[in-house]
Amino acid sequence: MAIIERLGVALDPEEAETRAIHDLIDFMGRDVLEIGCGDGRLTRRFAGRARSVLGVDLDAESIAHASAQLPESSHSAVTFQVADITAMEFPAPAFDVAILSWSL
Amino acid sequence: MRALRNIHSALRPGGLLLDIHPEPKHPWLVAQVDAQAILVGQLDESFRIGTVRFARAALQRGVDDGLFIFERETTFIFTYHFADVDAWLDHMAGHWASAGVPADMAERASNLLATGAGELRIPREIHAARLRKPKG
Repeated sequence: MAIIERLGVALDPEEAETRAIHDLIDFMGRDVLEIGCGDGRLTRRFAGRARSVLGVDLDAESIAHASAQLPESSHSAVTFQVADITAMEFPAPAFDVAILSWSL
Repeated sequence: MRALRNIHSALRPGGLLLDIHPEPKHPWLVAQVDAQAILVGQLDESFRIGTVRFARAALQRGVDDGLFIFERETTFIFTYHFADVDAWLDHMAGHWASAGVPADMAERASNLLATGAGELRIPREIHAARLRKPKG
């Protein structure tokens, strides 16, 4: 399915990115931290398989868009949060996968 | 490095880090007209190229420091499709402001699209790497 960002624009309708990430990572049942999730474009490509997803981004507008675009079937598993990874604290390891999405 | 250290803290032992970023290159705008691909011009990605090189160096330091073990990498082509020049320019302004667009590129693209049925594309080479947090 082509991902239409807005009228007249399609990003990677060939789904090359989807094939690449699923070839590298098996998301099934994993707890995933996505850093730099933006508007959730990449999140929507693996969220259906993960056990949980925390997507973080510095930009509040992008996070609002990501939340609004999330399919209802993923609402219980996915959380989006405005946050800076350099300021976040993780008292205990809680994730199986971390994704740096165009953002290191 | 602070980001990498926090990610290391967040991951369980043996957990995976997937790093995805564009290759440090200046991408081409392509007019796809009547099944023919015509190069319109190159975007100036100098700013992004600098940040990618910085990020790669940081990731390498993370490997050298033992935070992560490199496992696999791949590249793929991520293609942006634009129905017309306005859609392309809107996207550049709203989502890709770090890239420079040469002054005559929009006019060239518009002239090419006027010659037949087609669209604009930007095929972008993307690098993806999988690293693992050591179990020990």
